[in-house]
Amino acid sequence: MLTLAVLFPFLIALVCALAARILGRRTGFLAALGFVPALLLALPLLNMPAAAPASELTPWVAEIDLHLRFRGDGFSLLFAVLIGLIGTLATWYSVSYLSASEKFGRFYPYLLAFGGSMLGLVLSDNLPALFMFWEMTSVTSFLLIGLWHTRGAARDGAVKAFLISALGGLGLLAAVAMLGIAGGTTTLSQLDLEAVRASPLFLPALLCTLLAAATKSAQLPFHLWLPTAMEAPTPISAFLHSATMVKAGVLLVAKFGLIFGASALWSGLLVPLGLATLAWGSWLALRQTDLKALLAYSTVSQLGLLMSLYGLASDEGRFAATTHLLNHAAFKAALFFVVGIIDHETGTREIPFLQNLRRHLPVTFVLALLATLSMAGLPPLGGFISKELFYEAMLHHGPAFITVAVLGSILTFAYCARLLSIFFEHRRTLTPEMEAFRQQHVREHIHEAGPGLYLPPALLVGAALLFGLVPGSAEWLTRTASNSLNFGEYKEHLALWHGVNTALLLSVLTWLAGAVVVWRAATFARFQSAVTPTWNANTVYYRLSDGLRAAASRVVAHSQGLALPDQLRVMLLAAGVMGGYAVWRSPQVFHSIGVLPLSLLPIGVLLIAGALGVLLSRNRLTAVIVMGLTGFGSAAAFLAFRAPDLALTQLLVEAVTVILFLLAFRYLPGVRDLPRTRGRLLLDAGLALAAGAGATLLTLSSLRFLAPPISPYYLVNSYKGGGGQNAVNVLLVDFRGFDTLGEGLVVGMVALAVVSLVKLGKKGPTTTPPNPRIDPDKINQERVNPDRRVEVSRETQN
Amino acid sequence: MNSLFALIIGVLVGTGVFLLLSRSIVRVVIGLAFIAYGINLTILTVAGLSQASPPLLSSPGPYVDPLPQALILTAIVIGFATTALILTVALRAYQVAGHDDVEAFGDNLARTVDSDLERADPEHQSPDQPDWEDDTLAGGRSL
Repeated sequence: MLTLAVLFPFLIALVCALAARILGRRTGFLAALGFVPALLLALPLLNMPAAAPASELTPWVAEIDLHLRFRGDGFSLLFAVLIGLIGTLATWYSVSYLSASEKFGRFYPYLLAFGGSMLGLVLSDNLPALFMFWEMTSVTSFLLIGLWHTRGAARDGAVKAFLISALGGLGLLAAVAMLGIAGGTTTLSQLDLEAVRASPLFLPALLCTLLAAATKSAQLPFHLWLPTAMEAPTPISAFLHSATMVKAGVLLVAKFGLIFGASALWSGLLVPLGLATLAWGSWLALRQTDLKALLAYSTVSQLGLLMSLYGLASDEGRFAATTHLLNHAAFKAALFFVVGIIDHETGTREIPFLQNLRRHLPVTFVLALLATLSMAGLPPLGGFISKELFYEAMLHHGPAFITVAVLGSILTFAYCARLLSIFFEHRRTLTPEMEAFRQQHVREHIHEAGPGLYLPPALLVGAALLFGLVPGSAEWLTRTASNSLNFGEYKEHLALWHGVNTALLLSVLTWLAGAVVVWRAATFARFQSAVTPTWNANTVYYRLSDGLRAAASRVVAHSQGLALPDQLRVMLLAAGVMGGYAVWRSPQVFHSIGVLPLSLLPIGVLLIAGALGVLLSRNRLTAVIVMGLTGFGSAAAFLAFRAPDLALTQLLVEAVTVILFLLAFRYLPGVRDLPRTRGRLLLDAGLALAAGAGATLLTLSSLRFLAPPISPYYLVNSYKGGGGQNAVNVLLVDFRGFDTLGEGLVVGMVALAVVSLVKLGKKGPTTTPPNPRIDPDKINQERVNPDRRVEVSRETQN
Repeated sequence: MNSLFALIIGVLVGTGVFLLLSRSIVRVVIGLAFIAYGINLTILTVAGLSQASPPLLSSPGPYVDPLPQALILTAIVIGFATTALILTVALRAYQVAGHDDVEAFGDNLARTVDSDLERADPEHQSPDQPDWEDDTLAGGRSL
């Protein structure tokens, strides 16, 4: 069941990719089927927390302890059902939302693959598989963010998200490896916690896990990728960036918190990090004019809240965090859907252009109002209850923490009000450019969206309302995770009214202060722009990535942008250093030359005469003939060492090669030794000497057999097995038949290539270079010094 | 005997490498051919040079090792094919470039990278609709 839930979306993704051409936008209904097994996980969830978690094991790559081992404990099941639910809603929603020109064959498969990876991540009990699914969410979200890949901004956003989450992925890989070593097993639920805590790997594993969680869940200073990931279509944003992907980091902190929570460092790092993200995210959210960007920064801040609560590593913190996780998923996904409706109906998401929408979009208004009030933490909605729990937990932690928490919540209240302002009339001052934009993009006659668009958020808003009005429902859901997150001991109950306590007073303070910020919005905006620094995490990111790109192109230009001989020199030097080391380490065997049979002497002379002759020849005809000396010399050597087949082949090939060269010479200039500079000449001579010496030493050091030769097998079997008396021939066509087939194919392909190249005839470049920026003549002129160029052109005239 | 051949191989490979580094394109091709000769002889030598009977079972043994012979047979043919291909490519390069100076062949990798890409900016978002129609990068479509 668990395995099916994870793998089924991938299967449906494949089907969708094939069916999209026929079904068009209706592919969405098919895609929604992919999440059905995940939704069915709600059935075992009903028996939680009492029932024992089910575990399913499918062996996979046993060598590295990589198995598909899924474990359905309460928390994982809760998360999986959440993913399934929001995934289903997002696919339904996108059926009405997407334009008919969308690439459905890409959209839905990516969405499903992402959903499947996410389900794998939450359910996986095997550490390497956990890492694998983690990376798969990075890759699939990269595809989803960059869905509109023709837009530069979408590509940039996708790359940014991928770079940052891949950085964290490396951290997770290290953490997983260290946990596996320290804990003695790669099964998460069977780790030997005592051993892990005692191990010296504990601290590095903790830091690596934190890096992974912080990058994935967009904590400071890695928050920059989440807002730009909003380049994806809105249903994707609702799925990825409200409910699931970004919560992967939160999930990691929640699950691994049971291992690392014992250390004071864990809380000491996570709680301040989360609170800082909460405050800074809501500060930035208040500055946005784009609805989706506002929601993005609000997600950043809410993730900070969740991080800090799980980071407390206390029963109280885990209980509060799990409650807020549910509330946040409900209201944030609903808000993304609502923003999608507004964008879909009005043509813009810019707050200054939108007002009075409650008249035209009454249903959307009600949904947005309820979801926003839940986000702002107002009763009687779920968000209020979880915010009270958050205050309560932070109060126990210290005055500094509760101060930051309240400040963040004040800003949260303010940006919620800003979001709602689009539904009411407000004064606006439009510059001429903005007015032009408004006339071009913003629709005048706005109609309410169809049920396909407002039913999915309505369902989620209903949940948010239910969590508030009947707190028992939220508590029951939260309690399903109690055994897996160890907060079963925590007896406090969720309620709308706790009596007058400090948390409630702080809430009232939050609302009042928030109202002041809203009332004095203009002053506050001026204050915000006055204190905003000129640099931020984004400028640092771009500085780094530009620097990297410039450095890479410089390296490429200097290493690969050289002419052929320069590249060869670099390669030979590298090969020489490595080969030289190998030869130096190996023993050499010197046989005496004294027993040389006289018949070998002329062969050696032939071989060497050819080599020297080519070096000295200044005429192309001489060069080829002298080269033939070496060729025929090797044929003679083959004959002397009892290889008649080789000698025959070599003679034939040699003859054909000479003919080939003579044919080619009709079109080629003479063999001129173009002058090399003195330094180059010395370097080349040195390289040639080194290569020659290397070849000699290599041959000498290979003269001892490391293992008994396998050749007797061929001699014994060539007649028995192959029916031939020529062992070499039988070897080629029977024992190594496929090699010979491949050899034949190579020769055939070369023949085709040669024919097509020759058929181009004496024509020059037939087309202009495709890129107008690249002008070969100009490049040549830069490379060749002017004198040489004159010399070359004179030769070609001759 | 083996040491003599090791020396000869060294001379052949050294000559090949020296020619390979020349600026004249024909010398580069010849250099490759010399390296191929050297390598073929290496295979023969490292298996142990011996003047026993050829591996023809019709004649009485003992026989020399047939395995290096089979390998070299393949190598000769492939070496010939490579030489032919490179010679033709050299010919074509000469025709296109108008000269046979290997060092002067242009290399497009040296061009500077265009860095003014469009950037994702959370504060200035584009409308949330696909833009396949007014597609400036039309290539993306046909791909």
